[in-house]
Amino acid sequence: MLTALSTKRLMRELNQLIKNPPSSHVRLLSHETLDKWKIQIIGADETLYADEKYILQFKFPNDYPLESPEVVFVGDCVPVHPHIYSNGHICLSILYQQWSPALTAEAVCISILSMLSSCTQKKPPKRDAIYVKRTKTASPKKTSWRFDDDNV
Amino acid sequence: MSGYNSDGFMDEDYDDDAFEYSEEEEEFGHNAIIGNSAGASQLNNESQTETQPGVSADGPFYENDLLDDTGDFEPVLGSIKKKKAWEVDYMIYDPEELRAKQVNIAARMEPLLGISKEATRLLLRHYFWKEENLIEDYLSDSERTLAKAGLTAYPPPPELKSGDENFSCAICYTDGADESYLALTCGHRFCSDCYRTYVTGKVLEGDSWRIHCPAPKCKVLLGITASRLLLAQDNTVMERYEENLTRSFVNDLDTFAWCPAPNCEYAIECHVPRTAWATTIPVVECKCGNSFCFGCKFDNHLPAPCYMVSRWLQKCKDDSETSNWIKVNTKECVKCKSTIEKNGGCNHMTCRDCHYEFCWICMGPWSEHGQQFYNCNRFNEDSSKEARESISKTRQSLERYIHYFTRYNNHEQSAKLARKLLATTEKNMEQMQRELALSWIEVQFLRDAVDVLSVCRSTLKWTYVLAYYMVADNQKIIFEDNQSDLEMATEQLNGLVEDPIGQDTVDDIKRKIMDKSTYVKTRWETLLRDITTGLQENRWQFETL
Ligand SMILES: [Zn+2]
Ligand SMILES: [Zn+2]
Ligand SMILES: [Zn+2]
Ligand SMILES: [Zn+2]
Ligand SMILES: [Zn+2]
Ligand SMILES: [Zn+2]
Repeated sequence: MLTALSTKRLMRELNQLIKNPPSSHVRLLSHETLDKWKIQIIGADETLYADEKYILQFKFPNDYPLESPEVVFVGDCVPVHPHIYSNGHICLSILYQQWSPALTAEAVCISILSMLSSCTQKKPPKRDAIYVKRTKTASPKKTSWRFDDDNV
Repeated sequence: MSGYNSDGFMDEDYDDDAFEYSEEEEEFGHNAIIGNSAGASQLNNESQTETQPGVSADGPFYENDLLDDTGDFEPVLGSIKKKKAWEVDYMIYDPEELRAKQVNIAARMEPLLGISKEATRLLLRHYFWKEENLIEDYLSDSERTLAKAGLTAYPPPPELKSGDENFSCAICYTDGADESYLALTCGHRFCSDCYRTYVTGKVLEGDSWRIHCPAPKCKVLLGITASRLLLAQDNTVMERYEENLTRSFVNDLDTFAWCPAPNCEYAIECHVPRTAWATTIPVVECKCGNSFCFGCKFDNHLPAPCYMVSRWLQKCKDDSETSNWIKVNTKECVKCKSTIEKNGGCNHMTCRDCHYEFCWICMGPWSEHGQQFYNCNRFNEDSSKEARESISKTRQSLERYIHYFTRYNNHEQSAKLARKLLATTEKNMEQMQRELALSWIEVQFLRDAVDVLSVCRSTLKWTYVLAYYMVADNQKIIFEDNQSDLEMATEQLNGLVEDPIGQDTVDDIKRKIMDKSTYVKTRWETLLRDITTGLQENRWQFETL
């Protein structure tokens, strides 16, 4: 059961996303339930991912936004990127221990877009096969992610 | 190792694994994430030790107590124990003493840093109580040191404000002048309801002083005063917060550890350095009676060093999974081939069917096991040399392993059986005491004897692990002679303890058991003293592990 806070937050975020999307590169595809959304992102112009379309699936926990949403790439197409595993798991600190309840689904989409934009070489993560074999379809939130970045 | 940050900055030499995955983490879920900061692994500890108790029986402890002036007076903390050759120095702390310990360290640091009491304490925690490192960094750049820890030297007292029409909470989107909100030194404002929910969630996950401002990437620490302000209505959560503080103190220091006994609330301080664990076994005994190794937190494993113990246990685990030859509690009678189950701690076996008397360990006839010819502790490398030359190396090493494992396991099982026997005996005690007109004190000797037995069996058990890894030479023969002496005496005591006690025999048996116990204890001390010095003198060579 979603808490009163999460219901209120998700309603507001959803409204915002429909009425006032942050950019033409982020588009809400579906929201079967209030806590499960699919959002399409389109690679920014003049980047390695220009015009490429990908689908992000958001699953919001009951105590969202105190807890982070589970965000993975779904569909036939997962971007080839050093921090995106071929099962759709994304190595992005704000999705895990750097999550803040003041972040939103929209902010997450923008971060992922900018992560794609700054990529200079399309290559999968090291040990992608091993990781995917181990995690299978488990939630990426069960993984212990390591981030080596002083800026985070 | 490298990863990705939310600014979209990507590190080019991303060439290591960015993940760690294990099944167990499902239990910890969200908390098991490992970060990159120096504190990440400790942060992990903090949430993993939720089973550790930390509440004092005297009731909750409030941070105010820590902030009270203690002056120059430093009370004697914990209890110091007297030492034998194999014993190490350590102190035992109850929750109250742990709190006092923290107060003392903070009080010592405060005049040196010249910042607020709370900032001093948070900075110490940020530095995992490593005072030298803290002072070094602070003296070279105090501003930076504070900022990196998310602190301000003299933060204004946190307060809940309201009355700003422009206020809007970034978490719940409520806005308006009626909303009360809190802002730390960073200026990020959140409504008091959201703040409270946020802090409560963190506290229940095991967090305390590491809780920071909820704004994205803001590292400003919430601090203890602000936590109290927010949790003023919720004593349970605040108590939990205080528990987490103490828990984190013990977890953050290498020289402290919780007693691993379930529901035990004592912590141990021990300064035997990790580098010495190869020759010194840091065994400590908690006030609750639990005797464990401070190094590996496993049960008391004197006199085998930690590294050998972990290697041995791993080997036993691997071998029991891959082979089914370990038949610990049943054997065939050499004479009539009927199955015999060991149901007592003594090695003197009598077959139920043919009444053949033999030794459980070597299966040889018991009649040959005279007092002066007790040779069961030894893997006689000479006598079986010829036979072994013809068999394969794997087979050889397996046999060697089985030899030591059998003896190791025998002591483990026998100790359990002796305990079981004691339980049965205790059941009969009431009746016995009535019939024989004995007082409770008078049958205490049996309990004492079983205690001696357990200690000796544990020691003997681990001597077989030492012996397994020990390279055969003259020194090993002396080692095995000592081992044999203790083993012999222990088996004799076990035999006496298992003897039935009757009206006419009680005085005699009691005297025998007490005499034997004293003797066994002496042998035990001799053996431990000898092994302790031997290890420190590198008297034996061990297979390189
Ligand atoms: Zn709010
Ligand atoms: Zn802030
Ligand atoms: Zn204990
Ligand atoms: Zn150990
Ligand atoms: Zn028989
Ligand atoms: Zn024998």
